[in-house]
Amino acid sequence: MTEASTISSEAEDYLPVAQPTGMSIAEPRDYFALMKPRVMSLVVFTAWAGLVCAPGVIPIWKAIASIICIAAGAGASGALNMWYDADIDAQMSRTKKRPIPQGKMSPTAALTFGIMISAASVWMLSIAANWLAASLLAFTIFFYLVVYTMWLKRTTPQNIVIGGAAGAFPPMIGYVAVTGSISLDSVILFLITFMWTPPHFWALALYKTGDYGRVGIPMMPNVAGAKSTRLQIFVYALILFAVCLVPLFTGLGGAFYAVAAIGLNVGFLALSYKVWKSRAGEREEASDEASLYEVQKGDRAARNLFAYSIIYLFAIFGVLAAEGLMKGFVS
Amino acid sequence: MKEYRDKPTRFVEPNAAELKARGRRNIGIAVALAAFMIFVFVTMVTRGSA
Repeated sequence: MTEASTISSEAEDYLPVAQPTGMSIAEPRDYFALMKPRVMSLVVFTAWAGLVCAPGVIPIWKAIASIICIAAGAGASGALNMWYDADIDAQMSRTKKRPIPQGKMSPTAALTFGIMISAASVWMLSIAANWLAASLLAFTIFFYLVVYTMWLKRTTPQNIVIGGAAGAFPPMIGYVAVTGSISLDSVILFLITFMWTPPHFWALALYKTGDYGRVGIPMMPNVAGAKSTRLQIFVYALILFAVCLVPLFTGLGGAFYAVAAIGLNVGFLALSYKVWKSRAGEREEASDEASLYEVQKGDRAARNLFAYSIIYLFAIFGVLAAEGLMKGFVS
Repeated sequence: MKEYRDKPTRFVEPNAAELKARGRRNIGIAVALAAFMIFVFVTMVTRGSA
C-alpha cells in the first residue's frame, strides 16, 4: 500500500466530510453548537436560581458576570465532550449533525476552543465572584470531561447517575458565588438536579436504546433491560420527591415553593409510574429519528416523561428563584 | 538581491465557502474579544467597588 492511499483511507475514517484545502469551514454558529446551547440554557437557569436563592446580596454586575462565566464553563465542557466523543457522535442519529462529525471542524480545533474557554471562564469567575466558586467550576469541567466522558460513559450503566454530578454543580456554584462557602442549602440545590438526572436521561435512553447500543455505550436499558430501567426511574422519582421537600425544613423554600414542589413532583411521579407500567424500550427495532421527541407508540410514556422533566427542572428552580427574588439578592 | 525560497507547490486556493467561513470567524473572534475585554473591565471595576 502506498503512503498516499494510507493517508487517504484514514482521513475518510475520521472526517466524513472532506476538507480539500485544509481550511476549516466552521463558522461562529458551529462553535456555538459545540457549546451545547440547550444544555447551557438549563445550566444558566439553574445557576441563576442558585444565585438568587443564596442569602446575602451582591452587585448586579457580579451576578451577571458570574452567570456568564458559569455558562461559558458549561459550554467549554460541552466542546471538550464533543472533542472526545466525535467517534461515537458520528454514528448516533441524535448527534451525527454535530460540527465535528459533519467535518466542519477538526477535533483539534474543538479541543483548543474548549481548553481556552475553560481557562478563561474559571479565571474570570475567580475575579467576578470568589475562588471557591471558580474552583467548583474547574472541578465541574474536570468531572464532566474526565470522570464522565472519558471514564464512566463507556464503562458503566451508572454513567449518568455519577456523571450527573457535573450537571448538578451549577446551582451550587451560583449559590457559592454569593456566599463564598458551601452550606446545606447549596448541597440541596445540587441534590435536586443530581436526583433528577437519572429519570431524565433514562427516559430518553428508553426510546433511544438502539442509538446507544450501536456505539457500545452501556446505558441502563441496554445493560439491565427496559423493565429494570423503568422501575429505577420510578424509584428515583420517589427519592427526588423526598429531596424536593427538604428545602421546606431548611427555610430555602417557602409556602409558594411547597405548593409548587408538591404539584410538580406529583406530576413527575405520575409520569414515572406510567413509564414503569408501560412497555417503553421493549421494541425490537429502535427508533432512528434524529428528533428527541418523535417516538413509536409504545415509547410515548418515556417521551412524555423526558419532555416533562425539562419543564419540571425549570419550574422547580424558577419557583425557588422567585422566592429568592422576593427576598432580594442584589444591591 | 535574489531570495532563495521554496516555491509553494502544494498551495490550493481556498474556495468561496471557506473564505466566507473565515470572514465570519474573524468577525466572531473580534466581537468575542471585544466582549471579553469589556467583561474583564467591568468585573475588575465592580470587584474594586464591592
